[in-house]
Amino acid sequence: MIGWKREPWRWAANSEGGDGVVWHRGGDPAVATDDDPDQRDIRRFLHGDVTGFEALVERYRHRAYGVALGLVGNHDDAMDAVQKAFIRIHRSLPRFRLGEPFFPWFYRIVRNTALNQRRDETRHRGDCPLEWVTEPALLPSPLQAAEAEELRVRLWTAVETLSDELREVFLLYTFQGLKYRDIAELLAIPLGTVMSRLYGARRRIRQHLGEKEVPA
Amino acid sequence: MSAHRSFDPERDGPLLSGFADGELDSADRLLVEAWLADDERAREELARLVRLKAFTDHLALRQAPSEAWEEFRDRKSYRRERTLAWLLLTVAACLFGGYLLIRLAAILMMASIPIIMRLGVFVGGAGLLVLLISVLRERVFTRKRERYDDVVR
Repeated sequence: MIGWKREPWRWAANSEGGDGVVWHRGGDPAVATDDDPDQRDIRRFLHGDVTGFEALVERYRHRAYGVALGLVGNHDDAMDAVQKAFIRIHRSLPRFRLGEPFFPWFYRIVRNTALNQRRDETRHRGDCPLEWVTEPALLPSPLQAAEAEELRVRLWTAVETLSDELREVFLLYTFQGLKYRDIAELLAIPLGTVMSRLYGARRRIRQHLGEKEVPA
Repeated sequence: MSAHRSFDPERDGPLLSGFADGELDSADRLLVEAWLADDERAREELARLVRLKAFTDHLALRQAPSEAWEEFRDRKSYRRERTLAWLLLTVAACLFGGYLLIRLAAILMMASIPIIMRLGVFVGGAGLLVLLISVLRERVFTRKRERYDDVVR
């Protein structure tokens, strides 16, 4: 159901597009290659072929939504942010430096647009955009299910109390499946900072939940 | 890092967190393993981190329903239509406004119009012009400069 919780995001997607793409851990993620479909689609777009942009939208819309939803917290604002982000990307693509990886550039635009959206037009505050990925049979016992359901909502409430810096790292690691090194490269921060922000986020969340309430 | 460094809950929490995630290099991993062997506080903190991680592993952010993406595509095409409509309206307003301006200038040139009327029309026109410039400046410079645009990571 949730493909990219288990499949980490990639700097360069393969030509299949969508969420089933392969993460090239072997290469240098900071260098985009000529056979990178992102670069190819951007080139097509810059040469006047609008289908190049359509292909980028198709490939990245789910990821844009995931980033936006984590930051704004509800579906309507997330969709608005995605829409605005793609408009900005469309407008800014002529300034994109070919040869550089697309994903960090794309991520910054989506992130900044989502933060602006949250500041200006937040609706439905209090919605919980988290869902269970576990099969019902694998959930805690039925007796614990109600408690776990309450914890799910409280966990999100706790995430919403985090500062943008802590929240971003927590979301990238926990719900987007990025490794520490990927987050450090994406946000251009040292690995130690990723570690301390993630720990800070978890500590605050634990404080919010209450130590005894996280099931063993 | 020194393998003899003792565990400090305030300082070393991030390393425990990295250990729980399996993200440490071998030197840091050895250091944490030494803390875990020696220090009850390290073991307790790691257990708390592992419990939270195990809980969040059961959760994910919702994906947008497929209808939302259909609406997303529709909104894109509406936007294109609206952009075209605004462009046409702007051209019409410029033509209409230009014509009115020429007619107004011709009227003001007529000797029969009292000077006070000419002055009134001139001041009113200047006010409208300043208002127009102000609105344009807000649209072009202020609203486009959003707070997080300047955040560089």
